[in-house]
Amino acid sequence: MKHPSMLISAFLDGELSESELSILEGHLTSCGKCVAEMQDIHRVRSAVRSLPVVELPLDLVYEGEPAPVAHLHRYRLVWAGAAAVVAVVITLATLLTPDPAGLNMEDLTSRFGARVSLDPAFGSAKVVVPGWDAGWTVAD
Amino acid sequence: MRRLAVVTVFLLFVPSMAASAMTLDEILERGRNAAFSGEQMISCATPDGFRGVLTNIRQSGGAVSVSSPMSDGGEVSTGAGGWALTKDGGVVSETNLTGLGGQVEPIYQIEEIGDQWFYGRDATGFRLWRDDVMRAEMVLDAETGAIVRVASFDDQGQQYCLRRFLSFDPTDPLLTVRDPVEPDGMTLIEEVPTDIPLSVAGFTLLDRYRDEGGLELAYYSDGFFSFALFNAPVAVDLESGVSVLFGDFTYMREFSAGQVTYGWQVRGRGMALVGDLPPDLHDEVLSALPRPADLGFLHRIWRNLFGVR
Repeated sequence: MKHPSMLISAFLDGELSESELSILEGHLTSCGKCVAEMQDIHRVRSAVRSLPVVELPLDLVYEGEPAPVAHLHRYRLVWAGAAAVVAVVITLATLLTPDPAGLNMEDLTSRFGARVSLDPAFGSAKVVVPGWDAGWTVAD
Repeated sequence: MRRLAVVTVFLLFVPSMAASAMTLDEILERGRNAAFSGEQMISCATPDGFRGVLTNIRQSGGAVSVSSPMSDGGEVSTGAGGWALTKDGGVVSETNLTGLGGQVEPIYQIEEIGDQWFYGRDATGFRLWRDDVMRAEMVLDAETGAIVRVASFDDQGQQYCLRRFLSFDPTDPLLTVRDPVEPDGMTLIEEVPTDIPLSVAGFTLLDRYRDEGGLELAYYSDGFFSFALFNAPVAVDLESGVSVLFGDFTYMREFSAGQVTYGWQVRGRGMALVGDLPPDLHDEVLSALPRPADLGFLHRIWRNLFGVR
């Protein structure tokens, strides 16, 4: 026979109907195992109920309104969206912002030419004017 | 015995070299202070094709003025560390170097090739040899000392560039050296650099300059050819340049008549080499300088958000 453990627990809680109580009593008269189980459960419950009651500290108890789950979810979405926008802006700034204005041929030629002019031997034979590539140019 | 013969030949050869060097130095000194004008042609056979230009050159009082009827009307005036580009009477660009640059002992052997005749005028010819390779041949006007023709060569004996006068007038064109204009100046740096070589491929670092914007110029010379190495907080834009590969490294290169320019980036800083050295020396020089290195993505973000570091 199947042992009615659920009926034993409900009996100890005083929750059995008359028909269920009749079934349980009939079983207990012939099943020592279930009697022993009922006695063990009763003993544990009595021990737990005999423990002293401890008051919780006031600051451990949240007295405000519980935050709606829906609001937390919405905040997370807002933050995630903002982070995504920032990431997109940084990426676009990186890709689209032109590099700082660079040195061109005129900048380089002028400085090289200034230094060459201090060359006592061949300075005057090295003068180059920017834009001279506009002269004859024959590509290979 | 064989060693003695070599020493004997050397001793016989060296005095004539030294005498020729003195003679060339004297002529160049006279030419630097001479006054003349003329039409000059510059043509160069470069790896990227032929480059040529026709110029009008005037020299007087230590100042040189050069313009070209083939360019857009700009005229360069230079001398004593100053360089200015003017167009339509206004200064477009100007640079002045403060502090006298260093000099280098030429590594060239000088061979005098005797009297020449150039456009009906007496002249003297010289050849410059480096490591047993003739690198230059020049003709200097006997009266003024002006270099009226100079050809440079690569290590295979092929002519790289030729500058020669098509007309020459020894009368004074009456130029004056421009007064320097601030704040476009570059100031001499005294410290010894640690990030660039003190010598490379026969070129010696003579001096360095820096301007207020952080642009640095290091000037190298071997006594004839020279180049400037630039290190800038911004990139170098060579709009008409071509991409060239040296080993695993890519550079932008642009030739003009008489000048070559390389541009590349090293971790966000722009670098450039500008000079007149022949193409066979380019690889050896570039390999001793900081190599191209890309800027990291995060570094690029930082620069674009907060500017140049």
